[in-house]
Amino acid sequence: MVPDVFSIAKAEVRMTLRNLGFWFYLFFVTLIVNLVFVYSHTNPLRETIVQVVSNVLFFQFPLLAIVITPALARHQHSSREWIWVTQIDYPLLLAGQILGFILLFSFVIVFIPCLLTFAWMVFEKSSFIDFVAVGKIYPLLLLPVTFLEISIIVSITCLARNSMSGIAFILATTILTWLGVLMPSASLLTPLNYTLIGLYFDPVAGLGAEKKLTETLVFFYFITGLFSLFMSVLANALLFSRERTKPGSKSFLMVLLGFSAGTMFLAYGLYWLEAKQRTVPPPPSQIQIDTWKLVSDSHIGSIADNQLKLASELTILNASSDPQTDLFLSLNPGLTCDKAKVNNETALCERKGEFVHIPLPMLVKPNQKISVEVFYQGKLILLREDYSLAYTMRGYSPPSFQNPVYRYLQNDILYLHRDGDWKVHPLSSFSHIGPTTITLSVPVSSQIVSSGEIIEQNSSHITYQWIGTLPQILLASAPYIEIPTSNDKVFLGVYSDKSDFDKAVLLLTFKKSLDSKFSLITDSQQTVIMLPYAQELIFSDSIIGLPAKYRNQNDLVNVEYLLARDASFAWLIDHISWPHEINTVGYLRSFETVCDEPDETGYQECRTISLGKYNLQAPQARVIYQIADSNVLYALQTILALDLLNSSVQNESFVKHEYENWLQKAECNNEIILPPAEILKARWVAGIYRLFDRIGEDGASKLLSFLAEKYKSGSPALTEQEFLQTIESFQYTQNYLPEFRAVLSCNMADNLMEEGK
Amino acid sequence: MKISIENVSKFYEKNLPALRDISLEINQGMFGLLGPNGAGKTTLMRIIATIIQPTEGLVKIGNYRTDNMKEKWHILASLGYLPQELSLYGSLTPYEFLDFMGAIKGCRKRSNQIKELLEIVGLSNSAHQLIKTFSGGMKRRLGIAQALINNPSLLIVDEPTVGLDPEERTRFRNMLVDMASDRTVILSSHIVEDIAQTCCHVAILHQGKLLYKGTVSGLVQQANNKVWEYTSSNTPLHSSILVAKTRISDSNIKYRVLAEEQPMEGAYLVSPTIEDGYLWIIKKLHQVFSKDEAG
Repeated sequence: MVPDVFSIAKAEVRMTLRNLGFWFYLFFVTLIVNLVFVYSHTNPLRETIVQVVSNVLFFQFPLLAIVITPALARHQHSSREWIWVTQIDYPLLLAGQILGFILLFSFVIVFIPCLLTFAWMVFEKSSFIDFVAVGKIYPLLLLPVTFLEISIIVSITCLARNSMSGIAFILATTILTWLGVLMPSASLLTPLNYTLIGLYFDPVAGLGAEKKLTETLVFFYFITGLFSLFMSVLANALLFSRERTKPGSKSFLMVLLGFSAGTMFLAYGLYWLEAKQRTVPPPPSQIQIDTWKLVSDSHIGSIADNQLKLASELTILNASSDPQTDLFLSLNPGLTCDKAKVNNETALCERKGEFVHIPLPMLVKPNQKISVEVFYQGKLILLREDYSLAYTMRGYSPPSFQNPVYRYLQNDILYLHRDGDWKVHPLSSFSHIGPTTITLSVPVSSQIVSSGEIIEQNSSHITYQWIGTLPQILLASAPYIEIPTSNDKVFLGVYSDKSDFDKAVLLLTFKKSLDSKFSLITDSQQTVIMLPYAQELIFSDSIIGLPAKYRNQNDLVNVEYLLARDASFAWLIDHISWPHEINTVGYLRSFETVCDEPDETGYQECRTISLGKYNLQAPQARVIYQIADSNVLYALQTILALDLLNSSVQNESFVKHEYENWLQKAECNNEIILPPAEILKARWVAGIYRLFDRIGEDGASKLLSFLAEKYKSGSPALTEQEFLQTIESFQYTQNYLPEFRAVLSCNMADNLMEEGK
Repeated sequence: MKISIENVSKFYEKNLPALRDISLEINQGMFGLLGPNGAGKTTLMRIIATIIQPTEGLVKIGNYRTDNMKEKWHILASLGYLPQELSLYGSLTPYEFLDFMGAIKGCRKRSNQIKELLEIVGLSNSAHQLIKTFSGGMKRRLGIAQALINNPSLLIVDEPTVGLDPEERTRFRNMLVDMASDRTVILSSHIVEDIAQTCCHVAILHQGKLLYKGTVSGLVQQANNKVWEYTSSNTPLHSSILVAKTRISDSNIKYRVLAEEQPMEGAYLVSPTIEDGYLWIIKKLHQVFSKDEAG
């Protein structure tokens, strides 16, 4: 007869519940979670989750040891010999005890944070999304590590065979780790910390892109725990057990040990693979920036089963002065190139980092056009750094290797936007707008918001098409919650809350205000849609794509100002062509890679400097898109944002205060204190503010409309010089150029300050 | 169930034997293991219970050897054990504790059996009280209940009456006798009365040696014609005389002594008891062993 493991577990749970140490543990865990809530309730949810998980997992370890160790060691004493004169197999007894502990502590460790979050929600200190998030994330993170901690405690107790030695060892390890002596190498939580640092809970996709990473981490911890248990029980059975283990059990344990060891290495490999895939992919051996000019392109494809399948046809021109033998096209690392043709000749197509390399079957001379067909498909990979590091890389400039998130495809959630790497394109440092046709067939599973035209529709698929030289593609599909407003539509994620709705409504106001400022006719109905993982606010005709990043801001005025700035920025880059930059210089956590200018042979010297401990995340630098640091763009964005706040939110005091700040920064005597670039930015803001003040609202609107017309996307970019020339030539502003120049050169900055006061 | 102990010796440390060349056969019914503290009784019990292995010799329980890993698990299936030192799970109730014991003994559908056992040991009214609140006697009774769960055919009880009051002790002895009707019960004790009241067969251990094995009446016979009683006021006693009992009455003392010959004038022979037999064996046979070793 096999002894009943569950009855052993039940007895263990009963005894633990009547143990004072358990209530001590319960009190401390509650206290820790509550303290974290008190100290971080103004922080973003993600930070609260990270702090709760880190603190609970760290401090519960010795407390668990205090409760569990004596229970495990209790049968070592001769007064408990009655237990060994039963048919109990030692591993089975341990299994029952461990099961009891796992069931009890798992319940407690998940129940307490959820209960406290619920309590905080009842007292309106926390929102519903917090509750949903913690309900999903806490168990996922707390359970496997708690299991691992219990396993370690069991292992140490089994080997030490003495409760005091076990507790002393765990206590000493915890204290030394807390003091930093054993960090970070000895910390079992290192992979967890790494995952937690960038953990992102999306209001549309939930764990979404983090799911696999988190699952593999959970799997790794769980298997490590199992391995640790099997190893210690087997060691105990072989060395000390007074022959309390049946021979069959020993063989079975050995098989389990071998299996768990193999699985543990596999789990670690899977986790690390997932972690690496979510970070920087290897860079290409060669990058062709502005080598090819896009003449026209068309893309036809479909989306099914989380896979994107596209056939792209590009007509490109060799814009360089050298003949070319290779073609590098940007393409998401998750997509596999099946086939390529160049001028109807079949060509090789191989993956190189974030690019596909097509060796050209012929030499392409300067100014020669070629036609390239590329067939590719696969699952889009969303790199973790592109959406997550923004929260952890504060203060870094440039802010790591972040590319804009223009694509996401997982399960029933889809998001595609303009020139993302979801379709092939050559790298160019300017807006490459040409005649474009995009035809995409999308499954009908949830709500779909698209800027494209429906050309075909059946019960399972809708086919959209975008035609034009300025394809403002925005396609988003997810199980959205549609909230009707008076005239417009708002689509929010299933994990959104009221603050998201408030932001959506505010954005509608801003969008309409900007449209009228630029003398554009606003569509009768506007749509705000929350985008998964997007970090940028996106305008696409009558659709406004709302990113979730504002959730991390708690100060309402700051959020409004940030929204106004981003709305202005989105509007400006959408309607005016600005200088772009593609480079390979960036920072990422532990490494900094700096490359020199290429020499005449094209050779480029790059140096990777370690800023700390070795970190696999940043093997080398990465190609990044970056809108150049244009002072005009910055100043217009700031002024439009202040104007939006003034007109839409009527926050005059904030606007006045903010303007005074800019004037203060623009002062001449600041040249020693502030960096020159910062002062110049402030002077541009002050200059344009004064210019708009002089020419009035109507004049400013006319100037902006003129700029949008002359420098529209696809045209040569609006540089600072071009802007000054426009002021000089434009009828409403031509008289104010000397004054504008004076502000820029500091001659006027101090006077402005006086006037401002 | 027949138990054969063949030439068993146990050394915890070199030159410090706990048991020396013990050979014994135990059959169904009550069997007493008598000896002073440190005689090796607990060691022998633990060997029979398979908790420890003998250094030399062989123990067979039924058809199974205790030193065979596979056969040991068959022995454990039919074994109940109440150790001398008893520490139960204080934070469980007797019912929960017996449920746990039933589970680890592989006993399914044990609810009725637990209730029955609690009834037998007289703990039905305290079934849902925490064990840590129990008296020593109640804990001993619960100890016997845990040993009896799953109905073992061999029950080993080591010094079960230590610390019990007379009423509890009597109750306990009666309970053991009842249980011995259909199983083998080995009762270890240094209290002669416990054995006298319960067992038909007995073995005496002293300093790891087996001094006697046989029936209780045989043990009493060992002291036949060697038990004397006399009254004296201040008569000095000879070293060869072992005083079994003294009783003060008025200004005199009444002595009960064990001696080969009349210890003094006026001393008269009386009928021996099991205690007299036990003391005679301990004294005399121990002397023989000591001489042998010295020789």
